[in-house]
Amino acid sequence: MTGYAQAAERHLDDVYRYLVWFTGDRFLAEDLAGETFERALRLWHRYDARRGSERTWLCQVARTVALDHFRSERRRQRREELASPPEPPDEPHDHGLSPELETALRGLSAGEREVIALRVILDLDAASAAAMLGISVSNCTTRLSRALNKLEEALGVAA
Amino acid sequence: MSRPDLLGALRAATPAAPPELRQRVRELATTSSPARRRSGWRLPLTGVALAAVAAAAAAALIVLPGSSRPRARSAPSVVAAQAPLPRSFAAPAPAVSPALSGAASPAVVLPAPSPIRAQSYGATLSLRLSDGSAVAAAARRAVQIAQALGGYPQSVKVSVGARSGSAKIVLRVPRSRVSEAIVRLSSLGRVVGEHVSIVDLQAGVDATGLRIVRLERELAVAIHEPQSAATQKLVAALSTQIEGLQRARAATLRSARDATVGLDLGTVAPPRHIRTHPHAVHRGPFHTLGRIFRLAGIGAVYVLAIGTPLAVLGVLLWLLASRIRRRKEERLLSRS
Repeated sequence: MTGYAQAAERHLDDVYRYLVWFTGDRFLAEDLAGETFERALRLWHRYDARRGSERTWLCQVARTVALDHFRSERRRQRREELASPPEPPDEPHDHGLSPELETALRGLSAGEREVIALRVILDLDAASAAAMLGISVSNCTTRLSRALNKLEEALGVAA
Repeated sequence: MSRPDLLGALRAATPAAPPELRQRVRELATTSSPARRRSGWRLPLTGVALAAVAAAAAAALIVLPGSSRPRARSAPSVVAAQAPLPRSFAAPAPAVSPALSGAASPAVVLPAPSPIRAQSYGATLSLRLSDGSAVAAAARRAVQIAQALGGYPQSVKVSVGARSGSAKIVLRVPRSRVSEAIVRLSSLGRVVGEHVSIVDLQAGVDATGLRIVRLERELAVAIHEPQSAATQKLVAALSTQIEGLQRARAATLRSARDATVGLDLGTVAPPRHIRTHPHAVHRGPFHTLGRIFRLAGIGAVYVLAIGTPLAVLGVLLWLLASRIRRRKEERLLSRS
């Protein structure tokens, strides 16, 4: 089994989880995860173990794929808004959490969900997460703290 | 719900990848092989970039005047670096003074005057000699040469001291023998400059001759006409005009018969830098090494001077582009 195959097998769940949290949509995350591993296969020669772990690199590829998707989706929405009045957004799929937590999560932006996914779900250290997001460590910590506070506030209201 | 409980609940809800996705990724990994690492192109690219920068710096060193060429320090080089007179048709000046070494200067080959056309021919030679007595001797010899060739000195100004001297001599030499005169005069010292000017006078002489012929015809007609006061006045005017033109034509031809040769004699200027240190005379391999280091240092300074602003600009542009990209990403994620 090649290095890529081993890495894909080992980190598929992490990439998928990250994308589920980032996009808030399981089916979309599944599509993007497939696209991520296709792109990772093409770019595998660029992976450098000295610059980060396989998991971080794969999540970085996944992030790029997701951002491309968000951009194209944004363009599509703009075009449709010009043509017809906007429709209510699709109901996001659940994360397998309690209904209160699901409701609270819907109040977070993709950026806030992303930092939770990286720091809490994937348990990346602050430096790796910050490097992946392209921000400073303190900024990353602040962003996580704000996201969790927002979540707690929403849960407090819900409870 | 406390924060640990919240984090625990979030961690507990960690969906696993669906079997379909896992199967798809496995097939992808087994059926396709990842692209191979393209090794060996980045390094040559960097090398080519560095070589290009070095070549540009070297070109700048060569092109920029007086930037890199080490100035001549030794006595012969200093002599060669003295500004020569303007040379229209110049033979390369020898590096070592024949007057100093005792060898004769190579014969100067200047364009010769035309033997069949009237021309105003002027030549100037600048010669350097070892000391004042040599200048005086050369001045005497120059006058003798001119006289031997049938010419004469038009003006002679000689100023001679104990160790230095100068002379400005203007000779008139028959045009037919000017080439020989230049060759002989150039052997008096080291030639550091020569200048020649040739102005063709034949066209003007021919035009004057035609005009004289025409006026003579008119004069002949006027003489054979019945003489009246007006006719006599015309004959007198034509005669005066013809005489004037003939005189002018003769003067032109007379002046064209002799060529003017200017001779600028002077002594060798003392070297600007006289080194007394023995290492200055006996240059060994370390001298060459020092010159190489010096050139390398100059090249490095150029590379730094040109490359640093470009590098700073590149970094600033990169930072700006990163910041813009980050802002766009944050806006996008805050809306999603």
